[in-house]
Amino acid sequence: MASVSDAPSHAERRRATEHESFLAHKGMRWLKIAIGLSVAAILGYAFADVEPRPNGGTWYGYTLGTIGALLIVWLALLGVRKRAMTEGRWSLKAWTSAHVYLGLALLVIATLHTGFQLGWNVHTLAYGLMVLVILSGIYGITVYALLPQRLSSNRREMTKGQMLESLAAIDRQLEQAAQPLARDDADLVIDALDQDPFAPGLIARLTGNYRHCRTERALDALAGPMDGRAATLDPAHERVVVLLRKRDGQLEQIRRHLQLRAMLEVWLYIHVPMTIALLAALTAHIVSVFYYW
Amino acid sequence: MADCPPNAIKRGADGEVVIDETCIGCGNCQRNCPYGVIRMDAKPPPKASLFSWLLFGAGPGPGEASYAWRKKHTDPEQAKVAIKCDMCSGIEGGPACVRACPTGAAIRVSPEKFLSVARLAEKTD
Repeated sequence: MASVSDAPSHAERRRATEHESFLAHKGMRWLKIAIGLSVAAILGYAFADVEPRPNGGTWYGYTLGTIGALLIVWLALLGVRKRAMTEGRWSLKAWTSAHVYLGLALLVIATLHTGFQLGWNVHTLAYGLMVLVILSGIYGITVYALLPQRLSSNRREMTKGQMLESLAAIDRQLEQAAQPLARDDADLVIDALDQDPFAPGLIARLTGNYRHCRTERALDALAGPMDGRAATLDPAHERVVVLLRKRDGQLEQIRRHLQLRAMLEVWLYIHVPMTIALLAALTAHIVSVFYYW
Repeated sequence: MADCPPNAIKRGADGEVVIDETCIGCGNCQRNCPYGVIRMDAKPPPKASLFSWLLFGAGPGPGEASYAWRKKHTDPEQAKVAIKCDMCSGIEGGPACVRACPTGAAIRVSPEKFLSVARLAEKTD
């Protein structure tokens, strides 16, 4: 018995070592490097003797600014690296791990570079864009860490294609089953079948809150009189209600899938364009600093 | 494989099935594949670089180009040949899907380990 109970824990351990997340890559090597870099920058800021006060224009400010600018350019190159499938022993996971942790360290380095002098100018614009990019990135790693598990438990071993096929099968049965209903009731079912159940836009997609869902409306109208006296309903009506419930459940699974997928992707629509804007603002910041030396 | 006229489809040392360049595009292997992993396709046309797409909008952009774009830009004389995943055999660095996975979700496991991972997944569900 002992050997049987030992087996899963052994397998669990092995699987855990093989499936290593980008956040834990190589014993969190990049987290340690990022912490070291941030601590060094903070200590330097505390002990560097600069006159008249810490800001971007002192020798220490220029050092931090150079490191920060190089980091921004290198972090942005992840988008190039992931599309350049060259041969050789490299892994994008290591790049992503370094991207995440060095990106977080950048927040410390750039903030110290500003010397906490912010204003309404192109320099603070570059800083603000950088903060926006990093915050959207923090959202990104949070959802990457939390949501995939919910995505697979919601799938229940079905692919999206199979979910849509199942919906189409329910729709065909529903159309048949609604034939004997009275005109008003049949219209409710036809309305539900005619509606594109996934259309209503970004907010509904992200919140999973689909108002005006005609399937739910039909269910409310048809199932309402059924409560309490189910036995007295005619079988055709009851069959339609059962099928509408099935359709509602299937819609919910697909909508949940779409919601999770949208939450996993939506941040990139901020992260990537803001990175391009940041590179432009950073160029303006550097050029203007040296132009008005 | 018995039905392959030029004997182009073979099994490699690690169990991977490889189709070599002698393929004549007859389609027998695609029709007989029990897993549906073989498809017939022409070599895709070269794409514009990432930067010329980003800055000047050249080409179809990152990712696999759409079927319509590939059809328009492929030489119509070029024959379709059988293609399938051969675990990137002959490419240094191993399977490109594993190297390209940013989150560590895609990994390679040996066949005997794979069975134990699959069993475990069933137990924990």
